[in-house]
Amino acid sequence: MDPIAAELALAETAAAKRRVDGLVRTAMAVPLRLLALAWIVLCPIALLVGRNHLGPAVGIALLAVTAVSWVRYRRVARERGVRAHLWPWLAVAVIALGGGAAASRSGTGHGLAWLNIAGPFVVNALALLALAGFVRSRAIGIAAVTMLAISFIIAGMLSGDVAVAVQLAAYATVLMVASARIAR
Amino acid sequence: MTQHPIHDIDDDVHQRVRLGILASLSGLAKADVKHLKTTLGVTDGNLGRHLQALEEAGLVAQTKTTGNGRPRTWVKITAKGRRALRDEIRALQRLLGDVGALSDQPDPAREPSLDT
Repeated sequence: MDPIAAELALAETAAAKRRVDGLVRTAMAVPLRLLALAWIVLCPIALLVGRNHLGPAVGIALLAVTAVSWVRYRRVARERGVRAHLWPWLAVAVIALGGGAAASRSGTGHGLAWLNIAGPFVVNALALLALAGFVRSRAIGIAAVTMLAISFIIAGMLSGDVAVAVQLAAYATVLMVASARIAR
Repeated sequence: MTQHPIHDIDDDVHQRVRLGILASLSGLAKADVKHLKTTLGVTDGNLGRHLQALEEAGLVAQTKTTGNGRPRTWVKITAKGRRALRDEIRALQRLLGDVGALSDQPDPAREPSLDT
């Protein structure tokens, strides 16, 4: 086999893969932007109902993000003829909900205020970090690391429901920036 | 003795357009034929022939839908197709690695002669 033909085939395949990776990253901007909106909506709710009763609201928010993303993916598929997988986002949502609830509960159970306040957010950030690795997105990776830093700083400075509300607002801002960067 | 990488190359996959189709579908849930045609810059007939060959080999699956009264053909890569693409890329990389190793060795025909 001609090595130049082999090299050309590899280069063309790599270019096609890069185009697809770009499409997948852009598609991921949809649930991330919606998640940012959900966290903004949850900010006042956290102050109203308290951080230990936020679970159902988070569940509904993640379900709404998933449903709207699914509809949006379908519409994009109709318009552009390309449909991305929704399961990477679903994995993030399931980990964020399940892991977050477990972290919050064990924080309360063991009397660890830090785990109760920052634990669910750290789980969310770690899930996004894994997503960044999967879709090879530097923007999502930077956002996830920023979120981790935010949680450590806020949990060290604030306490109670205010700490949770501030984290929600900060995470929403970071997610908005990240989704704008990957949608470009 | 290890087998030459040429034996790892899959005849169903080893073709520019087929490799392009599999690579274009690899990270997606599905794509329509029109998208593939535009992305790869091929004609309907050419794309259709390659898609048929890939489908017969079980590497892609095609489904037809009618949305808004418009017929549309969707293509998605199968698990076998994903494996075949990965194996083909590895085989090509191995082949190029072997060629690179050969070209690093000094060519006796080109060695300067000490004969006077």
